[in-house]
This record gives sequence, C-alpha cells and structure tokens, in this order.
Amino acid sequence: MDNTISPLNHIGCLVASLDEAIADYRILYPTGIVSEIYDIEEQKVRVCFYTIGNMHIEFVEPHQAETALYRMLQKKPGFYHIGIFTTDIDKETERLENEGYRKINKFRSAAFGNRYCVFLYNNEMHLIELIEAE
Amino acid sequence: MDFNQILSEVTTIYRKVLDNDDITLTPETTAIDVEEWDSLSHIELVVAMEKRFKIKFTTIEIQNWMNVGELVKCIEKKING
Repeated sequence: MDNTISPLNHIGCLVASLDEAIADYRILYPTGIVSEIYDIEEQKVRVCFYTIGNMHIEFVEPHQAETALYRMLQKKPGFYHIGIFTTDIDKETERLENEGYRKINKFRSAAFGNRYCVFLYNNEMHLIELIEAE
Repeated sequence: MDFNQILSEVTTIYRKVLDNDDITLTPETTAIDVEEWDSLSHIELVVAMEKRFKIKFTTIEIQNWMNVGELVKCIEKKING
C-alpha cells in the first residue's frame, strides 16, 4: 500500500492559556505569525497556530475539566501530538491500524477548513493527527 | 480470576487512568456514567488493561462492548481460555 502522508505539518502543544502561550513564544520568536482562534467542540478545546517560517505550533487549550486532554494538561503541559497531512485519510488510517496504531476518533476540524482529522496512538502511545489534505 | 476479581482490577485501572478514586464500576456502567471516560481516555484504558492482563483486544472487541460487564467478560474469556 502506498504511503500517502506529507512531511510533518505541526506540533500540538497543550497550554493553559492561548494568550499566555502566544506571549511566551513571542519572546522566543518575535516575528511568529498567529492564526485566528478556532473552537473545536468535538475536542472541547480552543486552538490557534503560531507559525515560524514553515513550521507551525498548534496551541491547544482544553476548556472542559472532565476530558482526557484537560487531565493531560494538569499532569504535564507540553508537546503532545504531531500533525501530518494525508491525501487519503481512510487508507492511511487503515494502514496504520494494521500496523498496531489505535484509532481514537475521526472528526471535522474547524482549524483545517472543516476537513476530516483522525487521531491515533502509535505503539509508543504518542498521539498522531492525520489531516485530510486539500 | 473470576468475574468479580477482574471487575475489581478493572476498577483500579479506571481510577488510575482517569485520575479519580471515586469511580465505582458495575457490570451495567457505560461511558455515559463516567464523566472522564472519553474517546481519548478509552484507548488509554484499553492499553492499560492489555498490559495488566497481558492480553490483546481486537478492534471489533473494543467497538462492541456495550458496558463494563461485557468488557470484563471479554477479559475473563481471554485469560481463562
């Protein structure tokens, strides 16, 4: 089966506050570009992207206490997933599942123009986000 | 291990993974009854149970459990053969 995934697109970073995260990264990269803020109801989070050159950091702010992401944030804020575009999200999901990856969910994300995204755990329990390419 | 012993072990796993010592599971418990039990934590629970009981669940098994009782029966069948 052909591999349909793109190079790494973004790193997802759990934060308590989008504003504070942006301010922190402004110190590191003053010329970074901030995207609009998206409310991802499916995930119970608000997100935005901080772009430095060709690299995007996705700040993810969980806003509901009884969610796995909120608990993850309480235990250890920080980088928690990588995002990758794919030209065939279902085929790629199936390929990864056949290799032992665990699919968590598939949903449409406002952060990517309402395209489909799939979160999976790999065998190391790292989170991978597949994003449907345009 | 019998059904009740497995249910007790599963309860311990849920409390640890979901970080809530007040969780009490019964065979009838579903995800609706446990606030912290969402799609992300579901996979964490599955992996924690696989490690504890040294078993592997299939995707179909994971999708077909209707409640904790069915999950425990599935574990019981796997470890007792």
